[in-house]
Parts: sequence; C-alpha cells; structure tokens
Amino acid sequence: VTAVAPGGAGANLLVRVSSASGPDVVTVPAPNDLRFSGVWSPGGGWKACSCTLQLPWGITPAALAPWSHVAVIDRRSGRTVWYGRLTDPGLTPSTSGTGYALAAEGGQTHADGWKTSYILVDRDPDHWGAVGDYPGSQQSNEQGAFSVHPSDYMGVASGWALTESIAAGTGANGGITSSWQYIDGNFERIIGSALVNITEPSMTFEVLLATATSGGYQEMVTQQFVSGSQWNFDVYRGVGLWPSGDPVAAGGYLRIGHTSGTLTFTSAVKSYIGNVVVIHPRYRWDGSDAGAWASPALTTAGLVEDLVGRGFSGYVEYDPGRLAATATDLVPSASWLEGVSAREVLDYATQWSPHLWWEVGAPGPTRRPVLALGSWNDPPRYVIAPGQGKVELSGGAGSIANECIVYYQSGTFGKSVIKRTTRVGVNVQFLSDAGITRSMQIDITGDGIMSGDDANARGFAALAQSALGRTTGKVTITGPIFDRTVGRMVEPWELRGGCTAVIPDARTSYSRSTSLATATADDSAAVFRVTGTDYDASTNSCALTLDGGALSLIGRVRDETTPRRYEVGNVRR
Amino acid sequence: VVQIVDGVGGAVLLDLNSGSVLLGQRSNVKLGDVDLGKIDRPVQWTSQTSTAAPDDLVSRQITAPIVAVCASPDAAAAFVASLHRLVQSPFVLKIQRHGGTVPVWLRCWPSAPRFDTQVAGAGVPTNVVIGTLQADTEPYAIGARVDVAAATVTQDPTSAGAFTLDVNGVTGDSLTPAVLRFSTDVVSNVVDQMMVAVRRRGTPSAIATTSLVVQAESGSSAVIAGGTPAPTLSTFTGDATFSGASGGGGVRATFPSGALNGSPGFAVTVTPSLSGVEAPGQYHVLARVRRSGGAAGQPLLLWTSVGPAVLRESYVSGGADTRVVDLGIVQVPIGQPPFMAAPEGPRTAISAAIKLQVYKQWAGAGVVDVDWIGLVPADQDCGMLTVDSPAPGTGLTVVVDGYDAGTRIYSADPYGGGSPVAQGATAVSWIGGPPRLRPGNNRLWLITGLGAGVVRAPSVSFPTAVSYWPRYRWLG
Repeated sequence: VTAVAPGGAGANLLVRVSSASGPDVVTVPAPNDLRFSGVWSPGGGWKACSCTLQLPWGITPAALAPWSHVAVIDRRSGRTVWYGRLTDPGLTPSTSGTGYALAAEGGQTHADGWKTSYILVDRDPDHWGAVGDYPGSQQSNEQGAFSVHPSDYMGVASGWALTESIAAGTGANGGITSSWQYIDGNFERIIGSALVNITEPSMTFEVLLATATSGGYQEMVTQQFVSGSQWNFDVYRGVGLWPSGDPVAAGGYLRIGHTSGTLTFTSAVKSYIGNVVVIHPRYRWDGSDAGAWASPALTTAGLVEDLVGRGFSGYVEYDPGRLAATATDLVPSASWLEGVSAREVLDYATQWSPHLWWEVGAPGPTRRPVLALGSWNDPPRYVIAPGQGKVELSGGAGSIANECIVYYQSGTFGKSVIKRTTRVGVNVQFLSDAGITRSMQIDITGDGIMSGDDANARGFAALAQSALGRTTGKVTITGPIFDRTVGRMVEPWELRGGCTAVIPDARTSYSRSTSLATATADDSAAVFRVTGTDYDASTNSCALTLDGGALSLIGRVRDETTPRRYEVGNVRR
Repeated sequence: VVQIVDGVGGAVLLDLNSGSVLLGQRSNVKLGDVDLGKIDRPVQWTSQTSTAAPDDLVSRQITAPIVAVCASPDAAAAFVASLHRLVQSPFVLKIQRHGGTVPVWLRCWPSAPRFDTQVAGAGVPTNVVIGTLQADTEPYAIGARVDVAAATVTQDPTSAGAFTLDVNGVTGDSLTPAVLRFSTDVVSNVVDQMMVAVRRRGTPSAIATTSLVVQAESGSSAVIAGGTPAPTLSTFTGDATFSGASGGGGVRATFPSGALNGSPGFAVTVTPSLSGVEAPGQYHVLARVRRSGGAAGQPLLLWTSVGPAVLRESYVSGGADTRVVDLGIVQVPIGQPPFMAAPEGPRTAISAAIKLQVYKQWAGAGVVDVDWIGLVPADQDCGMLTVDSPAPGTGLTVVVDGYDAGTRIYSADPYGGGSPVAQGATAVSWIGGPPRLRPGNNRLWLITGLGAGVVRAPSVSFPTAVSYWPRYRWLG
C-alpha cells in the first residue's frame, strides 16, 4: 500500500468544460482556486462553481462559452462531483497566457429557466368570475355553512363561498339567475356544493360545460333545490351529459336560477356555491395521461411527476426511482395561471412535504442532469467525530418562537377583501422551560383566500421551521470521513447535503429533533440537517452548512435561492 | 548531451556540447531542485489509498554554462544569434548524462542567454564566447516515448484475462499519463461506452478479473417479498449473448402482468473472491442486465446492498436492453475505514457479498436477466470513453490522450509510423480520469457495453495499444 502525503486538488479532480452543442472539450487538472457549492434547503443541489484556467496565449477553445457544460470530475472514479452550466467564461487574455475566470451555475439553473403556466387542482375563488346577469351583489366570502364534499380528497370543507344576494322581486323565465364563470378551460372534473335559502321548485342549480362533442355549453347536471339543504355535484366524463369519450371540458359555468314560468319572491334570496375544486389534466413522468379525473388526489409525487411529464424532462433525466417513497403528502391545490418556474413548483412540493428536498444533480445515462427528490428523514449520513472537522455553531435562540400570529385573507365582499388574524401556539422545550412566550408573526395575505384551518396550519409550519432550524452553524471537513449511506470513506469534495449529520461536539440542545414532526422536544441526539456544502480546493476542505444556516421563516425569507424573474424594459408601440 | 531539439524525440537544432561548442565548467550544469506544489492546510496523515496521489510538482530552472570556440568572430556572433533565436520561444532541451544511455527532454520557457561581451581584450580571442543559458522548465523531464504493442482485450469475465491489459516495466520515477489507442472498428464504429480503470499500487496483477466478477447463476437469488405481481425465478443456459454456464446463461426473473402494487422485485447475491493485501480500495459495482418482453425499454430500479450500504441507481428507460450498468462505488472492506488508523495494523481485506435488488417500475409483464455482477477498481484513475455515433469511415484509430483527457480520431495509429490524418471527432468523448502509469507494473481494465447503443456479446474483443513517456523528477 502506497501512502503518500495528500495531493493537491489537481491530482484528484479535473475540470471538464464541454460546449453546449458540439464536440469541443477542455479538460484540465483542477486549479487550486476551484470552489464549488450546493444547497439543499429547500432544494436545488449543486449551486455554483468557480475557478481560473490558465491556457497558453492565443488558445481560445470554443468550449469556453456561455452555457457550456461544466463538470468537476473525481478522476479516481470518473464520477462527477459537481455539474452545471457555464454562465461567465471570464476571458482575460494577455501575452503571458489566457486566463479564464470561469463561473458556473449548477444544473438547477434549468429549473429557473423552464417556465410554464398551468393548473392541476384549483380551489381559488378568484378564478370564478361573477357574470352579473342579475342586479344582485356577488362576492366570495367566508361561509361556514358547507359540510365536506364526499369527493374532496383533502376532506375539508371550503372556507369560502361564491355568494349572491338576489333582492325580492319578480322575474321571467331565466331572468333570475346567479352565474359564475370559470377563468380557464381544459379541466377534467369539477366538484362543489350549492345551497339556497328558499324552497322554490323552479329554482335549480346547473353545471354548464362545453366539451368537444357538445359544441357549446350544455347543462351537464341539473338539480332542483330544497331550502337549506346542500347539494353536492361531481361532474366528469360519463356523468350527466358529459360524453364519456370527451376527456376535457373547455369551459364552465355554475348557475343557480329558475328555469320555467314567472317567479316572484317576497324576500331576498341568498345563494351559495362552495367546496369547488377543479381538477385539470395531469401527466405521468413519461408524458402519458395520469387520469386525474379518475384519481384526483394530488400528492407531492404527482406534482413533481406532472412537472417532469409536462416538459421539464427535456432538461433533466428522471425515473420514478429517483423519488423518495414518502412523497405521498396531499397537495390541496396547484394553480399557476400566471406562469411558474420549475424551481417554484419543486419548492412548492417541499412546502407540503417538508421532509423532502430536491436536486438537479450529475448527468445520468441520458446525459441530462438527474432530477431527484430525497428525504431528510433517512438515517444520519455523516458522523463527524471530534477532531474530524472544525465545528462552528452559534445562536439561533433569538429566532425561536412558540406562538404565531397569522394574518390572512378569509374572503371578499364585493370589491373589498376580508382579512383576519389567527393565533396558534406550540410547545418549544427551551421556551417553556424558561417560562417565556415569544410570538412571531407571518403575513400571508398575499397567498389568496384560505380557511381558518389552512391559516392555522401555516402558522404551525412557521413555528416548526423556527424551532427546527434554530442553530446557525457549519462544520468544515478537511480529510476523508465515513459516509454511512454508501458505506465508504469519502473525500471532502464528495460530501453532499440533503442528509443529516451527527456532531457529537455539539450539545444536543443545539440540534433539531431527529423527527420532523411538529414536536420540537429534545431527543438527545445532536443531529443536524446538512443544508449546503462549499468545497474549497485551495485547502481541500468542505464546509457543511447545518440547518439554521439559512433560517427560513415563512413570510421573511422564503427560499435561500430566490426564484429568478427576468426584467424587461417596457416596450413602446 | 545538451541539445536544443525540435520537440521531444525531434531533430537537433543546436548542439551545446559538441565540436567547437562546449559546456564550460560542465560540473556547473544545474538542474534546479523540484518542489512539491503545496496547498494551504495542515498536514493530515491518512492511509486512505484514495488520497495516495502524489503532489503536483512546480516548475524549476536549468542553468547551463556555455563556451563556444567558433571559427571566426563572425561565426561566434552567428552562434549566439541562433541560440537567441531558438530560445526566445518555448524550446526543448535534450539532456543525457555523460556515459548514460537514457536521454531526457526538458520543455523550457523562453529565456535570454547571457554572454560576456568580449569586444577585444588580452588573452581571450574574439572568436570565443562565454556565457550562461538559464531557463525555467517543466518540473518533469520527459523520456523517450515507449510504445506498448497492441494487445487484445477480451470481454468474457469467465476467462482469467478478461477486461485487463497489463503495462509493466514502466520506467521513470513519477506517474505519467498514458495515451490509449484503439485501431479497430469495434471501438470506433459502434455507439457504446467503455469504462477504463487502472490499478497501479502494490501488485496489480494480483487482482484477477475472476476474483472481481461473479456469474449471477453461481450466486443465490430470491424473490423480494411484499410487492405484486412477484416474479418467478429461473436460470438459463445456451445463450451466447450471456457469459458463463454452458454456452452462456444467467438468472432470469419473469414478471407476470398486473397492476403494480408495492415494489415487486428480486435479488441476486454474489460474493467476489477478492481478498488479500491488494483487496482494500474502492470499486465500481457493475452488473450486466438484460430486459426483454414487456420489460424492454422500461425503467428498473437497481438497489445494491453491500454490507450496510445501499446504493440506489436507475436503469433508465430507453436505450439498449442489454447493458452493463454502473451501480455506484463500494469500498472493500465495506462499512469501515479501509485501514486501521493506528500506525500499524492488518492490511488485508475481503469483499463483502453484493446483493443486487431489481425492482419493477412498470405495470405489465416482462423478463429481466442478470448475467454477472462485478467490481472494477475506482480509486486511482477511472473514466468512460463514449462513442455517440459511429466514426465516419472504417479502419480509424480512436485515441484517448491522457495529457488533456481528450479524444481524437486518426486515419491510422498516430504512433505507428507514417503520417495519419486527424479526422473530425464530433461524437467521441472521454469523461473521467485517463489512466496514469506508475513506474513498474500497472493493470488496466477496459469494459465495453455500458452504453445505450449496442449489445456486446462476451465474445467481443479489441486490440488496445498504449504509449507513454516516462517522467523523471531528475534525469534518466
């Protein structure tokens, strides 16, 4: 066995830059100023890489151009330890040689660039427009009168209703109606509930949809009302007049009105429509139809697989084996009519499955970087024994709270918005031991109308975030350490985030609980999430960011990596 | 011998120690000491073989005093002029010690030789010039190229010499990059990927392919309980596409059709016979797998359990249905540091059992066959040669250049004499560490069939030639 002093970066790592389209490749031993990083909270994987190449004067390879592939390769195994795209070739020519200060972004940059606009499950009352066919007042407001719709996979009653007050009076056939039009077409199933406060046999409720074969709006289902009794509708292909061979409806109306004779009320009528869920077409990861009309429940796995099947697979490689088996959390709604990036969708998935992270990693057999969803709840990957790494932990107590005031939007009334607050509390051992109540506040009024239960859930989530991610810290590794997941010693450049590490040097009270449930009691293991890595070739060291390194309180800092929006100047016509 | 030459192994341009030109004070020809390139961190001892890569050296200087006795003062001026001309751009110096037989070449950076300005004076005639040539050089001196004759690399792991190519008796004193050459359409004209790895510590020849690779049919296999529809397992023989058992065979899992419930799958467990002092290290786990019937083109989830470690890889949908799949990297011995941290300790190890679990990912019938499961060293240099589309034409040579980790295609072997023509090489690439050779003995592994474009029968073989230039920290 040869035992030689550890080598420089170039002895073990190669930097390979290959043109985005074409055969040009530059491979050099890693320069000593090589640095690369990754971030796994809430996701992304490899983030940035920089180094300076010195090439002979006059050598300007075509590969050193924007959007070339950049890979840092462990030459011992041929494995890629960092992958991304060249964003800045940083050319500095001089007669003594040509310098290239390369700056690259990890494969996750594709998640910013890929954007589309779509809806999977829509529960947003703003997406229903009052048609205004009768001079009443239409609004969406808080309405607790509905019980749960039996077909709603979330099993919660809606916190809002599309409401119309119809003044007392007389109307001819069809003259007294309350109509609401859906903002978008191409849905596969629509469920909801309707209610009126009068008993009038000629008042009926109708779901009008346009399908390919109907050629126009058609009354798919019709129901006559009895006062005060909730009627649940659930319409999809093969139900009512919806032809079973027609997969999608192109547009929709919900209408309450009277359909025969002349109607006279002596007092005002109020109509309510709630529990409305619109299920849109959904893809499997391979681009085939997922049959959302038959199985409408949307899970985080379904959300991600739809994203892949919808077209993100053109940038990343994905197979169902790359998805943590626990991505089964239900997602109540997913609707991005205004457009959304793949990063935002993936981050959204981790909001509903906070035990997951996502990454765009090294290219797989298809040469596209591999998209994967991993779990924080796996057993600790690294055990950093005293002396194996430089541990720096600090603070975090200042951001712990055990009570949260949630400011949210509960409905609309006419053109005004109804905002409310709710207050939730959890038991945080630190604070209850000290007899202190510390409150934080979040403002989620920008997230649309939601029920009080949803607002409470967001408050709990924010408190859990603050309590779990409480320590700011990092540990710097300079030599090989044992990776318990792959069962071998790994070098600093091989360290990955998206896992947990046990740091016996730390007091147990500094770390988070190993269970990521809302319980935040101390469980006597100093286990930290490794949320980021930063490798520095000049010292052959890798700094692991421990949870809390980026405190993410909802409403303050949402993501460590900000979704990128492109700024364009105003176009004058 | 001290000569300025036209490249390594090239013609003499100016001889600095012959005829009328002498090295004045020959004992003063100084080649500066080499220094290790340093990185800024505390020295940390590790017996981890993977870090046993040497430091890079940094540049050094050579100093040569020169005395030229020329035919006339004008000839002296012409000599100095030609020396200036030759060294004002990067130049190559050939050096051979007096009485020695091994020349080395030093690649030098531009320099300005210094000469006494002897306009006229007592004692020294003006046809004699005295001076010094001093230049920065590369840290390593380069020896003459060594061409290792092309040898055939076979791909049937039941034969002892399969996959391997030995490069023995390498001279020099430092690691040196190798240039691999494949003058065969089997490599240049077939869409495929080839893994190339090297073992160069200890006694590389002690690691035989037969100790690394195990036929699936000689391991144990079992259905993994839980998921449905569960496969039925069998072994088969007489299949020339597979290696081993009576004309080629393996383990077959036949999945019935039916809705996917849980994770139906099967496991094949093999134990490589790898053991001894050469065993510790890190290895790629490879498995040769075929999917057919309804399984063709469908994704498989391949989990590899070695001791406590579980490596998760996907056999992605699409591409060739018979393929060698890279399942990840394991360490021997598994699950613990490879050596005792104490200054002395046992240094032998054995391979743990490798359990390959194959899970179905699609609803429907299908057949999955496993040919063999094996290890390939992955802790010195390892990389992958990829041919994405057949080279334009036949009879071409694919070259993997260890100096720039690049690939090239020529009309013939560039070191086989003649003047081959470089071809466009738009669809050939190399990713990873090209093999470096240490002085002494080295063993290369070359395994084809990892790509998505072709089915490689075990009978396939191809010639592989290796060339290298010995590297010297001192002289030859």
